[in-house]
Amino acid sequence: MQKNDRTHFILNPGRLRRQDNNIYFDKYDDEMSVVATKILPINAVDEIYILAKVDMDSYTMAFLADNNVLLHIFSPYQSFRGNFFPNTSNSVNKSGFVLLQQLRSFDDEIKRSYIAREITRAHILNDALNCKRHGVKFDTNPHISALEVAKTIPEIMAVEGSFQKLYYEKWNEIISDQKSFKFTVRSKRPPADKINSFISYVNTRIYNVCLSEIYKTELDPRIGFLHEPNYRSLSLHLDLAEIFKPILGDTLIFSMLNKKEITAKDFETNAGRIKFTNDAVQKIEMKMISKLTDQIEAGGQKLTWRQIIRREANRLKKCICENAPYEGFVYQ
Amino acid sequence: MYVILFYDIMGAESKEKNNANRIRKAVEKYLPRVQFSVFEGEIRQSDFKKLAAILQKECIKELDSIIIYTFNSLKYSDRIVIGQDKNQSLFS
Repeated sequence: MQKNDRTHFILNPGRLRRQDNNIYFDKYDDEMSVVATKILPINAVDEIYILAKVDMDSYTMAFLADNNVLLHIFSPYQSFRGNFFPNTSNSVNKSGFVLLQQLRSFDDEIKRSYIAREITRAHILNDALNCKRHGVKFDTNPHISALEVAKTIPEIMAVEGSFQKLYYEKWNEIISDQKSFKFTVRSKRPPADKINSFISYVNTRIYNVCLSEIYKTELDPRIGFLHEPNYRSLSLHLDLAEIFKPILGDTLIFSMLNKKEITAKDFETNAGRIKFTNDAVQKIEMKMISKLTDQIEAGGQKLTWRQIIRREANRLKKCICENAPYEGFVYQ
Repeated sequence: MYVILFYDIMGAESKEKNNANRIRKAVEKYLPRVQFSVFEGEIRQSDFKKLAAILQKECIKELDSIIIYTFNSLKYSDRIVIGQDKNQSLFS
């Protein structure tokens, strides 16, 4: 039986509409006529991922907002377009105090670089653990010691960048199918080859999970610490995802490629852009959801991965507001 | 918590009001529908209490029957579908 993470994925073109205080999805065929209708249980859905052309009216969106359903909208090439965040009294970030403290610790050079350093350290250690699991030797000591002397944000970013380059080179030793998934260089917007497009898709997914967990806390996702906030509108979820990308995303990529669950046939190429077929998206998401609903032991409690991400966000908030020592999550 | 729910609601001819639609609409807000009168899926404990309270109120105890199986863990279960899986609850 399949477990659900209270998310729903729309992969076919259609129309979302409100009826009987519930959400109905009409699936279209090529001539825009309705072929099937499906009911999405409104109380069992927290997030809807839209990966196709979907019609919607403001009446439906108001209803989704009332029920605190987050919409994530993607382009036909599966790159992130944006999200619809409900602005109701019980969902909006209300604490001015937390916002002020977040701004102050962003301006405070020492505190900001402390948080950024902790995030990068957790990222490096989690990456190294991945290598160790697959029997690949990787020495992190020079990077960790370089991180400890790094004072400013650009220095920390430089350490992270040089580490990331070495880490991606190790991928060729981990992934067995070298013919179609050889890693040469990381490229984005658009990803140039199959392995890059796989990494981009999984990372986008983790960004969105982190973002929806940040919305549940009082933190403001617009102000990030490691990433400069002026590159794009939101950046705190990028910081948080940095810790969880190696644990959730990279392990998923390795296991799916080494077990041959994703092969070269699962990609569609069109005018130089690469995307997954709908079947491949379903396979990846099933794996992702079973991963996210897995429970692990953390701090004497049994928590799912989603709850661990939220716990991490709350620890960050505690560091910002109460000057508590912050330590990035390292998976043992 | 995982739940399997199925019901049989008596039609309007044997009683004064037909509440089959009202029960269907209430359950559809909480669980995905897999067959005409069978629903299954993940539900929160608190949502389950709300749903059970609605069903308690709506159903007529002498005529209707609603059966609910609840699971805390799916470790020892397996779902086998022969033919069409009508409602995949995650994708559409």
